[in-house]
Amino acid sequence: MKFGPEIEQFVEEVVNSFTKWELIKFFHENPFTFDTAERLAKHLGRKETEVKQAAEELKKSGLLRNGSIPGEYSFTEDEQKQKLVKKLVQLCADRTNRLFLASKILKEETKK
Amino acid sequence: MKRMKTGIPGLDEMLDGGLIEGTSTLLKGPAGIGKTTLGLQFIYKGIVEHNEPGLIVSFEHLPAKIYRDAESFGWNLRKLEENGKLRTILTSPQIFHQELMITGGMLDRLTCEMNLKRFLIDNISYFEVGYAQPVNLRGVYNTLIGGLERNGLTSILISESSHISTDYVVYDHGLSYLTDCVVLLRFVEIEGEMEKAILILKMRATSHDTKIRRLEISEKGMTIKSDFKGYEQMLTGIPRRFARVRGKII
Repeated sequence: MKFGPEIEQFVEEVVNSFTKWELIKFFHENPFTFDTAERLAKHLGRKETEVKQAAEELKKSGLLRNGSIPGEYSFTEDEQKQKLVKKLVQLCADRTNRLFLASKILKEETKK
Repeated sequence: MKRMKTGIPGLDEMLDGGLIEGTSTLLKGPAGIGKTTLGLQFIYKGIVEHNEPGLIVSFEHLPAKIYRDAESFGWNLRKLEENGKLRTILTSPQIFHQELMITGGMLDRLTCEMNLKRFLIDNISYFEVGYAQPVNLRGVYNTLIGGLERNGLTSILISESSHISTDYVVYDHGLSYLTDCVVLLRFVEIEGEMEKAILILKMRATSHDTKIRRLEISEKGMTIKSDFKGYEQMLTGIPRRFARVRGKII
């Protein structure tokens, strides 16, 4: 277990697609973002449909939440979840860990 | 009237002591002139020198990018954010507009929680392109200014000019009228070099400097310098020298 059990479980259950990883990383770096799937897709340079689906799934996992305006997504205020994301982002500053994460996500994506 | 120091050396003198508390300022200029630098300096210096918490609303630039750009002037915005003195929000014009109209919406809530005093929006021109359906922009701007005034915020609204130097008369959906102060930044060509110029076009309830002055940006931020003595037609972007001989301009 390269990341440790807590992070590995987090990756398997929550960060199980590349779009979700990109969204999580985006919200970690820009934590006070309140925006629509359309605009998030533009910021990430991805398709809106993919980003919307990933954002909805992250909302179910409690990583993202809806604001007071329909279609608005923002980052979780749960400090435990934010810490988990921070730990994963810090681990991925290392290239070997990034490759490990990519292989884990690929494995999860092929399961779908 | 309480004045809010801008933190930009030379600008407070032009503004007769600083911006008036609770007023809004429209800052217009082309890309690359230093609008964002002026706005960030206003927010950063307000927090570190006057303990006046600030809110930055960005419609396009990612906060991570704003932090990085501010770092080049030695301004650690991330630390201020961690200390609860600053919040940098990335959102869309539609969401921000709707939040403004909700009682206890984003702006009301943050002003109350953080005791906000200063506000920067970069850039307001996105209201013109950010809607799927045509909207009454004057109405949108009224809501924005109303929301800022309701919360007692001293604000700078950045607006991008499409031309390098000459579009000082533009149709801006009443924004120049609605705001209390209008500041123009311009590129001017002087002897084959591009210089930057600043002018206070309008300021309600107070006198202000009417001279067009030099603006410089160094590794420490923005500074306002002397006027362009001996030049005229600055606002065209291509000024010409003049001299007085026996009281006559030649």
